[in-house]
Amino acid sequence: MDRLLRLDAAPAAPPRTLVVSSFASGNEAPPMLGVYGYSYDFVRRAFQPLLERWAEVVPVGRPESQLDFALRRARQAGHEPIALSFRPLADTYLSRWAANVVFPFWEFPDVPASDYKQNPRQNWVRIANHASLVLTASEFTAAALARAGVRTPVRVVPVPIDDGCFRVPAWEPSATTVLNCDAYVFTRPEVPPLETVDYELRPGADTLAFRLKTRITATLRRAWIGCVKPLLPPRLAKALVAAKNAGRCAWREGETQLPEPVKRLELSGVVFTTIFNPDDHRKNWQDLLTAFLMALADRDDATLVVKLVTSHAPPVRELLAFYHRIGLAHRCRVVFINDYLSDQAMLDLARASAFYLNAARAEGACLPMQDYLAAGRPAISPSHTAMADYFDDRLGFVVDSHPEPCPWPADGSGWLNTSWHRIVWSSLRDQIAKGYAMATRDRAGYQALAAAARGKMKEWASTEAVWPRLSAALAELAPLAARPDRHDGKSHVSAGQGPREGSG
Amino acid sequence: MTAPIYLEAFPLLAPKLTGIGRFSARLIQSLNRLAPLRLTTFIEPRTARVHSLANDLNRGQEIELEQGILGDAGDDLVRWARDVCRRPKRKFDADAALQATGIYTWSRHDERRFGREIGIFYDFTPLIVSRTFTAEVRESFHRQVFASRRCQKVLAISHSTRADAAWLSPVPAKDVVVAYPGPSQCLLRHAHAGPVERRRNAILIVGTREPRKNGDFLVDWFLHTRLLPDDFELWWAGPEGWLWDGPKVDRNNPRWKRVRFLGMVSDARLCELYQQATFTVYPSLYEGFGFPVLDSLLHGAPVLCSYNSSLAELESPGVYYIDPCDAATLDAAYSELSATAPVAIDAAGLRRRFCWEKLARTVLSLAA
Repeated sequence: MDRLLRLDAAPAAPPRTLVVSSFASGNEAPPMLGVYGYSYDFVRRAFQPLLERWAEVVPVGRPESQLDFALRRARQAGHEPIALSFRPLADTYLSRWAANVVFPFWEFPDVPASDYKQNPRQNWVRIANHASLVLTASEFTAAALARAGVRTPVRVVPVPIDDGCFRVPAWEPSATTVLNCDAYVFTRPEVPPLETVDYELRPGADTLAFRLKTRITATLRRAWIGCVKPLLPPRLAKALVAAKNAGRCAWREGETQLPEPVKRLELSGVVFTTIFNPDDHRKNWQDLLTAFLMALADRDDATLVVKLVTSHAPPVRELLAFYHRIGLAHRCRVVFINDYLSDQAMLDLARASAFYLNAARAEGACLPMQDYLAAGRPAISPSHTAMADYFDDRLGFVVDSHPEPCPWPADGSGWLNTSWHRIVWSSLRDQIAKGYAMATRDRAGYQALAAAARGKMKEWASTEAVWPRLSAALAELAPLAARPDRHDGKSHVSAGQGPREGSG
Repeated sequence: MTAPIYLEAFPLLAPKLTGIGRFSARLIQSLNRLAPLRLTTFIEPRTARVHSLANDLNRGQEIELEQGILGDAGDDLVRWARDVCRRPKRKFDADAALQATGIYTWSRHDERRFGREIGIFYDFTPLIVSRTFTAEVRESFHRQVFASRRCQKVLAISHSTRADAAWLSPVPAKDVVVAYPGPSQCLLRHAHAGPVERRRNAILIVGTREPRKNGDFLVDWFLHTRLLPDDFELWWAGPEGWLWDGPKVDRNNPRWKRVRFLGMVSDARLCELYQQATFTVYPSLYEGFGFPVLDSLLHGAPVLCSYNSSLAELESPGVYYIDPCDAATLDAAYSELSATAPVAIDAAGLRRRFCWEKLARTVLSLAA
């Protein structure tokens, strides 16, 4: 901070430009939910006001093609440019024309330090070591990078929480909140007995026609896979498969009778909200759903709101199919929202909620949970990985968890290169029950948790708490950013809105 | 007597001599003026068939080239390359190779073949703009980069490529040396001999038709910019590539009829096109060098060019830089070009800076 002040006071300091890379090219459109890297765009949006406070901000969506031009233009305008990347390190582009600041998220204790699968872009440590400065949102990630051999300075800068979250009124048990969005609402007071489906016993299954049809279908399928598909151009083959699948029924027969979504969702009572991308295997939504249903099955004033963060249909279908398959009877409500919610609607959802619920196995930040804590909503969550920075039993109910081996994310090899945290299911169920009990019977206890949650987040990730950390970290670069041409790619530094849909 | 240098020369066998093939041909030509060479290949027969390579030189063979034996490529580099590869062969002498220096002009296996091994980094585009390549090419490239750690030295054809090597390859920065290539054609004289009149309404783009060349962006700009007079034409010289079926644009736009895809053209025809073009456009998303920019300038045609990767190193009078994802910058560059034309292109300076002989001498110094 002192260093920044000295820089600010220097009369000849040129104006600064931050050329900011993310997956989106501008500020206008909402991020594409669930697509690769979408949560980085939420982070960029969250930082935007602070970045603009520090420098002129120029966004670029394709840094490898656009970044150098933007840096040059800034320099031609007499500015001192710095490149800032909100992308995973495997997708970061390092320019040789300016200092490179990278902002990766990483939620595992081990960081790839080799050309994993012979792909040099997976060598996070080498890429980080060629950056000028690494910013990261958690102490956990910073420690993991250091352990893996990152020598570039790493500074922890939490993602700023929108001021609107801190202004959300305290939870009011008697209040009713209405959200105008598509939502699937389920209660299931009774579950019919399970019927055995034996396909061999279906009418007609023993006929010659059926057997012939089955045989022909299998032969055609083998011929397609073995003979036809390999000869077709890949794009044509893909298009034909897609056309075939388009005609499939989204729901397996007899498995799920989806109701029409309600257009007007009324929320009251004790609402537990969780926000995640169902395609993300870390989120452990199976445990979350079953624990909630088992903990509060007979509480008709309890509601679980699952705000899904995805634009893709298959993971949503998988989640809803899972819910229908488990056959748990419950009077409490389960609500799935797959609609895009505006910033204001997200704030309204936070206002209606009593708790934030999280069962993730690993987190690089968990931005929605931070937002809810800032809104004075205690959490029911494990306190591992990045969440250990800010969450403990003064802010909610800590769910027990233990490390277990796991593969790198998106790794098809199945190699257990790292670890994440196995949630203790019974602990999750019990903490949900305790949360409900406190909300309904111990108003003072609940308010104490809520106040502590809001206070902690104010101190950890409010705009004003983040600003000194961010500006001090970037100020370390400022004297070096003017050096124009670095052909060696070495480091410059020798030496710190509403609740987001991004799951961080 | 100078020791011979081995070259893995399979790029010469490609059916179309574009980027790396042209580079390899020019490298062999200029190296042969300074040293005796042995051309060989380690390409698997199956791979050669898949890539439709000529079978003039096969695995297990080598071609001996005495110093200075190769003549000028003249106006047909493809024919020259074929003629070189059809020279008499003999069995590849693996023991002699292990005592000599070998240069891998493109791919290499993890296995050591030469006493001293030199690789060439052209670019890291399959890693940097990976969406513009097929999965097969990406994986093959990953293997090559991984195997490059076996090289004692690596030649990078631009500072950009060297900088990328620093963060994307296992080769230490001190072992990567930069030398610029020269122009890809018309080194001593124009391949097109006759007189050519420069037109005032022809835009040229030269390159394989693949997504990295950013054709959608260029054609969309051509169809919609208000700055171009209506009689302008857009000519695209270059073979069909991969992952791009042509521009996704409104083909009812009246200007669409003025977009002409010329396909692969001969050196002589390309020389003529460069001399006819009002200007060249090169809106590439990423490059390792950028032959079309240099070739265009040396034919007197200014270039509107992306400012990224190695293209930034081609800055000289006659180059107007753009952001290849922002049509407004292309408008601005065109306006600037129109306001400053005619441009005094420093051809002599470019020839001094981008010179095959300098590159060959650098390679020789690495081989020693």
